[in-house]
Amino acid sequence: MNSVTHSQHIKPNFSLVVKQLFCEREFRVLFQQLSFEVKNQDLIWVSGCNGAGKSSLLRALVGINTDIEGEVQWNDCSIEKSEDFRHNLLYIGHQSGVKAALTAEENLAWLLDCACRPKPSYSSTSIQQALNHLKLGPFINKPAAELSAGQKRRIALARLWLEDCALWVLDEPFTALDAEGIEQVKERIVEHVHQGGAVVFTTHQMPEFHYKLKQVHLTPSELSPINAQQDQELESGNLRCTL
Amino acid sequence: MYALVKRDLLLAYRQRGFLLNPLVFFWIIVGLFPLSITPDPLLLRLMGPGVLWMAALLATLLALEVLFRSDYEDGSLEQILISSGSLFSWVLAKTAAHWLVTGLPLSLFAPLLAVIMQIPVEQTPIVVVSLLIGTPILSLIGTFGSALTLGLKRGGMLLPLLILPLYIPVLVFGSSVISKYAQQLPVTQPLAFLGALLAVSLLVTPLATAFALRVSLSR
Repeated sequence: MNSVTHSQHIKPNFSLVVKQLFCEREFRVLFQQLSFEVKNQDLIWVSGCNGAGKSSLLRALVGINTDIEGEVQWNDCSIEKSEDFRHNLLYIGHQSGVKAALTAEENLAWLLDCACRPKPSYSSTSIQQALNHLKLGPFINKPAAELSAGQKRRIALARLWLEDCALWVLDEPFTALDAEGIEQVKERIVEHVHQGGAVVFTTHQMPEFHYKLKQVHLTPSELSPINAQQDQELESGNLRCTL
Repeated sequence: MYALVKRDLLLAYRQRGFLLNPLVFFWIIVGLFPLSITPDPLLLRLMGPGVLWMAALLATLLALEVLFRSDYEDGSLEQILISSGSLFSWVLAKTAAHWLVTGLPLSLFAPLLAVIMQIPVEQTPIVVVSLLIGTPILSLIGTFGSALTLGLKRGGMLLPLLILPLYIPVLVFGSSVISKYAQQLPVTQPLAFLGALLAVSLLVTPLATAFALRVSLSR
């Protein structure tokens, strides 16, 4: 851990308020009237079965998924308008943005450049250090196509050691990682919340965090029979019109 | 934004085969004309400008479908969308990279194909100039179409259908630059139209593309 020079900045006070979110896919309500708040030092686990809408929720939190009802606010300002939100957000999705034809180092450098932080907190040496720390040292100049799924995941996760952001939103960060990798990422997450950051994540392989965990559980439901019936009637009505 | 251009050029260099595809396609279309229609130099010279432009247009179209696809599938596009940089500039950078690996080589390669179409050597500079002004427009409009059909399962056929009508003015003015020059008529008018089209599409299409990307990623 000492070999990696990540910033120890105390994070500014912030709040991410989720208000009355509603999301529907294919006649299933993934979540409705979902409200919660993310503040400094929060560690939030979004749980639910496969297809429960965990990724949809995370994508809504970061502002990629706008096909939902409700509002997400960063410090009382809608996330779409908040410049500060983008500066303070680190999102690693299910697809982590790693290009098969680029080497580990090129991939990481691009992902960091892509974020366009106002004060970049990395250099080529710190990139190499972070990759070494995640046991990618010998593969630094290998195209990612030759690496395993877990190693590709590590390239993206190396950003956790390099960027200075208050809010992390991680979609399945532990997928494909080995026990040691999971331990490293877990330690980094706990360290981040101790420093005043916040983490929202999903996972199906919960490691033991020695930290107070908050949980948002998603239980999708079928559209209520009345609504479904109305929809069906509407559809058949339309059909009649076209016929 | 420079980072994206650099990355895309590096990717194109790593996958050089893809780089050659539009060029080879361009060459095949133009090369087949004298073989299939007539070897008569006069007729070929008459058809030359139109054929060159049509082939360049189809070759650009070929490279469009994959423009955003890999970024979409591997999650890079999500990272671009939530980045602090403006989406307008990202789109411009992406288009610039696309033009540098398709439009620019096509324009520089065109004099060789102009010879096949019996276009006199002294007219080749105007062929290159018209393509240099016209192909960026093709890339700009194409990026928009590509963003719009992103994530659709049958986007392949929809894309040409959507953007070909928008390509027609470019095709008309682009080829008329060359044919007017060949007839020793003034070329300022079609050139000015091409330039105006370029200016308008530079301003308008990145906005539309940025919007289309937001919609396409919102699932």
